[in-house]
Amino acid sequence: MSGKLADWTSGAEAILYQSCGACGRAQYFRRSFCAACGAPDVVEKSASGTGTVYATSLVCRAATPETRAHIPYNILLVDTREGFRMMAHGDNDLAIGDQVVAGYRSFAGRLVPYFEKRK
Amino acid sequence: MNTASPSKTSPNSRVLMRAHALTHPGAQFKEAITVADVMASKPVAMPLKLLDCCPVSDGGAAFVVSRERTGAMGIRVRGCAQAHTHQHVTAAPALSELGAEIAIARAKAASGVAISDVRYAAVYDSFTITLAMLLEDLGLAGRGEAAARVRAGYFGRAGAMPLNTHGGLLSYGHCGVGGAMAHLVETHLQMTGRAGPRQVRDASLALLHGDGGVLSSHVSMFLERVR
Repeated sequence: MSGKLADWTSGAEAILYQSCGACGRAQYFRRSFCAACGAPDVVEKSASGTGTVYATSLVCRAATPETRAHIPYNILLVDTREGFRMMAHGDNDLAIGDQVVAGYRSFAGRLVPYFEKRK
Repeated sequence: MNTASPSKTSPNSRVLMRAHALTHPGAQFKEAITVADVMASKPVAMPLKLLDCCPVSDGGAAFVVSRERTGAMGIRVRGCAQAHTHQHVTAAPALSELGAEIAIARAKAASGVAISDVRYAAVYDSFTITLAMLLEDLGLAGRGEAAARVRAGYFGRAGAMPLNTHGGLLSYGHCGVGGAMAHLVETHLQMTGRAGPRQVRDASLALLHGDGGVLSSHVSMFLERVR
């Protein structure tokens, strides 16, 4: 392995995040520094895909023609076990506080994380 | 923190903004609506329905800033402050720690103005829930009390705190940056007594609040009329 991890944004079934070597904070958006303390030594890690639903919104009007076939679809904010919050797709009946686990589905031609209730 | 669903708390603010728009010849929407109309409108992104959302508008707004006084009345900026806490909503702080509270606290400190001094309010209203949250974050209503104040007429043209008397983004229209600039234009007209049939009793001191991104970037400004 080259050591470079791949995630869903390049078609791999994985969710990556960054962990700060100095303060330990986890962040979802990739940066060359820690957004909390500014330290430059952030390490890329693979997330477990488990978390808790923080917010949901059922999208009933397609934003683009390509997404029309998916209507209605749920958009979530998930607080992951690793401590970062991410936006993702998920089952339409999910509610705030549900324990969820990520799978992967095709949405408008792209692979995206898709959360379901943890069994 | 206002945790209630906007579909249960906020349709009245849309009805109020529409009522205000009916008195402005430049407003996009010309027909009165009821709370029932808001509740019956098509779902967009639940719990927001079509009439909880501002329209996409064509239009513009303009104002001229001059160093020299152009009339008997002038407007002075008493104090202004901003706060930027995040860009993407996943990075937003807790609902009770959003940038509006930081911006208004800094603006109050910079100006020496208290919310109880304010006579006219111009508040960014992209969605009914945005307006409810901002009214509470700015201290124009207590936590969870924005909807009740709207219903009681507090923010009407003849109310204790006239708000967005042109109809706001929700009903005057939202043409991008110009949509928010219209709040300033209306504030200036009110403060200088040139708002015609929309004129409020006393707009001697105004609070203007703008919000960009997803409740990301906030600017609060206190304006005062000087003679």
